[in-house]
Amino acid sequence: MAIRGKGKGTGSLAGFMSGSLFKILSAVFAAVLWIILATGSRYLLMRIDQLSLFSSTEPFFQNAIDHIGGLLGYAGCFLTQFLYKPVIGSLIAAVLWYSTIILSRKAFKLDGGWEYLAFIPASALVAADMEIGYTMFDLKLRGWFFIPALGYLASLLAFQIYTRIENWKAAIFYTAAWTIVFFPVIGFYALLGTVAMAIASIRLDKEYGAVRTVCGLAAAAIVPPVWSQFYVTVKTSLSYFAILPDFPPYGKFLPMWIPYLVLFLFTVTAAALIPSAGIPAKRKPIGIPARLSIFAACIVFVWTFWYRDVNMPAEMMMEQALEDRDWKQIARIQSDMAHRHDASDARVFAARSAKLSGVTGSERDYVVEKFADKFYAPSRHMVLYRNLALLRMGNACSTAFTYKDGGRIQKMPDLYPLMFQCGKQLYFNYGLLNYCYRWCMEQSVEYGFSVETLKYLIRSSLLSGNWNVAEKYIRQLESTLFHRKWATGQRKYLNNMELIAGSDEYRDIFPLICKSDRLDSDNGSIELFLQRYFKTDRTPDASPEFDDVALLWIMQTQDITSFWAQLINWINTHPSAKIPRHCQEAAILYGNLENNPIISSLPFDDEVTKSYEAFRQYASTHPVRNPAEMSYSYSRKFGNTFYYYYYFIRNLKTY
Amino acid sequence: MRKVLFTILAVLLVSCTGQIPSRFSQETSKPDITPDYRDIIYPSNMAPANFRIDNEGSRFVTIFTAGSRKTILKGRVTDMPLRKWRKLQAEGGTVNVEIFVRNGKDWNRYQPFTITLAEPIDQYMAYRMIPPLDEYYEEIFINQRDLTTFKESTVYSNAMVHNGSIGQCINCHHFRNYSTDNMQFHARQYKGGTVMIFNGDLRIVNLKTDSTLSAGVYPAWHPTHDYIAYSTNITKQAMHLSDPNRVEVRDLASDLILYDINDNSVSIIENDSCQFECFPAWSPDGLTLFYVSAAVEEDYNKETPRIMKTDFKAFHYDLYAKPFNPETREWGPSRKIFDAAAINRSATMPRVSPDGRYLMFSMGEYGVFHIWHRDADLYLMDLFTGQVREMNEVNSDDVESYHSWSSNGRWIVFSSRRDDGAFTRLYLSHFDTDGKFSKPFALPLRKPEYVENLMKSYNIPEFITEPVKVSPRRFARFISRNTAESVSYAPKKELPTTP
Repeated sequence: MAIRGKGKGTGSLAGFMSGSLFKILSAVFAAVLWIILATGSRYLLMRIDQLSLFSSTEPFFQNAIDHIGGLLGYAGCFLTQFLYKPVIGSLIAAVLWYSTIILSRKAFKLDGGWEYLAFIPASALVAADMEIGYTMFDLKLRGWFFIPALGYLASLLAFQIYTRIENWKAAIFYTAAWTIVFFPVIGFYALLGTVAMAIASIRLDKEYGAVRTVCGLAAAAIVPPVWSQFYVTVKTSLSYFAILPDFPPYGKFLPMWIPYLVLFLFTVTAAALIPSAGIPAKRKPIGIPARLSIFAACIVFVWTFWYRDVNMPAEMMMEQALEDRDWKQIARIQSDMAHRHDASDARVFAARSAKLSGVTGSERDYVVEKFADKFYAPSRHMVLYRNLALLRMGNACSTAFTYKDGGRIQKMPDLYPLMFQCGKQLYFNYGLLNYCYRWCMEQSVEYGFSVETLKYLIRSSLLSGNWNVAEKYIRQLESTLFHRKWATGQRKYLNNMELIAGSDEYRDIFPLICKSDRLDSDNGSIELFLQRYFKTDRTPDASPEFDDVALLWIMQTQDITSFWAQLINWINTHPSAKIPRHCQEAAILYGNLENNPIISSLPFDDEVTKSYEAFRQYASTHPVRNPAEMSYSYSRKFGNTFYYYYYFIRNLKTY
Repeated sequence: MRKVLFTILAVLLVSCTGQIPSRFSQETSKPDITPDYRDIIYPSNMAPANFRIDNEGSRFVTIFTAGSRKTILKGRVTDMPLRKWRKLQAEGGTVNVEIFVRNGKDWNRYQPFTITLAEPIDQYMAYRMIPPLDEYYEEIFINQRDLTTFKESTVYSNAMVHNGSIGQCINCHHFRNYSTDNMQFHARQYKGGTVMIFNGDLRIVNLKTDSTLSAGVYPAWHPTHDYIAYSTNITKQAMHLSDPNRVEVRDLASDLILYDINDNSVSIIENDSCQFECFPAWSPDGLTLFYVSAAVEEDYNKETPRIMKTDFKAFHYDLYAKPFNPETREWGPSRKIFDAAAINRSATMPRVSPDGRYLMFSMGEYGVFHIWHRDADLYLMDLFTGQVREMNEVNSDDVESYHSWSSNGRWIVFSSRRDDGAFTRLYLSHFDTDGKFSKPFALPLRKPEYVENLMKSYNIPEFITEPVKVSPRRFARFISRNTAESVSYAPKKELPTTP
């Protein structure tokens, strides 16, 4: 069967493959992405919205247009707020990606099977968004999720109009006008359009093509540094890259530039090979296998760059649960994650055991180290949130160590501090309002104000009694589309500390609000600071809730002396309460380690006494030469005890 | 046709200019407006005092009257055309403001208030625009504002030079005698140095030597000779766990140096090991250097964590004066002119009025960096009598800090966080010949609500009589292409003691 052009309306299989299948696949491509994002990535999208802000205030707009490409960023921020409703936000993204396919095909006149190449820029745009992962905490480009698609569509549209201009003088004028007018509006993407116009001119205009090319390339070279003279927010040499993401173009970040490189190369190549107007396409049509191969390659490309980290989805869900104050959900998320990996951990253990058979000494340690990362472990982020949730549920000191613990490093090019991921949330919930406020402000300075920082600025200002500035932040959030209702709801707390103290959302914080004062610095490490704070800053009038929290934090430090001191404090503030299970475990363990006579006077549950005895027995018959090697088997028997935590959860990296 | 057009025009004219309600109820109170420009003394050359009427209502009419001139504006927010404001200003004297507010069907007329026009103010003001930051920084701008209009432009921005991973902090812009032919600011970290315009030429110097604590920090340009006094500081910042002041900026050591621009050398002014000397300020005749200093123990360990955490309230700075001979560069002995420590207070940031009569400073419970101290207020010392008084006319319940005098000595600008306790805003006040300040008012903006949504603070306001003539790009190119020139160290010269 011969394949001619688009094969419109032939009714044949070839015609279907040429025309309808492409349209179907384009729609399916977008629809599948929409469904995946709206369902499987909904919490990620909501998180992206939390880290962004679109405000209808004049200073917000002014700040946008003070930057080259700022209007594109403004539009990007506007659309980002729809990610708060994942179904809508992902639909917008899918529509933009679909439009890219259609417009790429039209603009570069791709047909005869070559239209499948139009999936390349769309795939690059999807990859550019979905590769970001944890880097979203380090991106200063506001509106990054929608900027590439919007910018590319604008440049495609401009290019398509250019291809219809026959008069060479008009074409040159158009190119120059496009570059001059749109460079300050959409930055790099305007230059992309200009370069495409310049390169396509050779084929579009046999007589004056070279002139048009030179003028176009000159415009791309000259306009940015000229425009940069009118801006005080850009270095001239960097003006060419305006509105591109700010991750560095070297080291571990280099692969993140690949989608942009693909986008650029596709555009330039397609422009260079564009069929001349009025002359049929000389390129040979490609067959169905080739078309489907192109499509498949694009899918593989998207899949390759689609960010995956075992814990990130759980962290995103926990973040939403924290916002909803759904403590049970936070605990359940971590518990589910651990259970989900039980089978895979068992397989890893079996595989490792096979490798360890007959191996001794340092070689054995080497095998153990190689398999270490294959076992599932939660991230510190998850553990911190889980412990907070359990404290709120009132049973942390009985249940915290029944959960899997660990410190799996989040997969990211650079270690991105936990402080910016969850610092303000933790500080706020642990009553350190100054520190919460400070990190909201630092994060806002570094990355711009966001929904999340504004929420915590409001919360910490309200609980600090700083009504005027709380009201300022409330007003900021009221200028947003989807968060104004929440912000307006906070107004009732202004000038009413009594209402705040009695409210469901804030009453838990009050007993923990820091009463002592001194100057200090957390050196950017939230976990180490909180450990130190709960160890050293207890005041004589500490609340029972403070002692609960402090006891858990001190147990995590495995500091025996501090544990005894805090246990006594806890007993004094909980006169009629039973010592929680994990505290009994710690006491019996430490007491035996130190031969401390105090344990003879402590009321241990039978269950605890038995479990400790069982642990001792097991330890005597299963000596631990390398804790990493024995950790799994011990966890199967004692993973729900403090004894296991003490011996096997050590040297965790926090950052 | 002509009649129809005329009618349309008349209707438009009336609706644009507003009609004065003929029937209204008289309120006994004055209207609530933001900013509060009621009954203030205002520069005769300053841009219009636009404000928002906060009273409940659906329609608003504001009438400005000065002499025979009347301007009527409609709307909740006044947007006075500059041309009309100039005509009102030309009448001199007092601008009377009447406000009518319609609530439901009835108009209410509020008690009128006045804006009294006084001496002109310097045409420009320079300031930094920064987030109310604690430690991190990103884009920092030094801007200048034409006070006779609403035009604001950038003097320099670090974004034009930064190196991505290494930032550049810019601070301490300072001008000699309100002129921009001689000015300086510091650039820190990337391409760091003290950037100067000296007699119109650009320079960048590194003021750090082996004999001094640090590069120059807080500057004071000598009014008549080519010297700049600087503090040198080892400064640390820390967070309060719970204190409402939130942040404490502390010196662990500080001295004073003199930079001789022609000689390109620095010499010590004061570096007593038992004193933390800081914030130099010259008298207008250049014969006296004022500064603050706090006494410390001889064996004070500059690196101890103890200091940072607990005894930060023990540092009280007093005011000192030190005679200087600008011809010979010789110094006389310092004398304490105000013992703040004796009253358990701490003085900082002295600035002398252009006539040399008064010294304005900030004072709080402790420390030297008062923008973070809510109790900090402005004080005025009469240098002739030595009397110190609190500037009750301008102080508020929140922090008042960095302050400057206008070149004619009739106006001051100061930083205040009275609006919300977090974001620094600029307030102005008139200073009369009897030594009294007028009711302070916020720096006027074309749209008064702009500052309510502005998430940045104004910082280091300084009056200047002319705009900075070097463009931001020229600063950027100069800083990018030049390395800071080292300075040499010269011995301190003391005035001979009388036998």
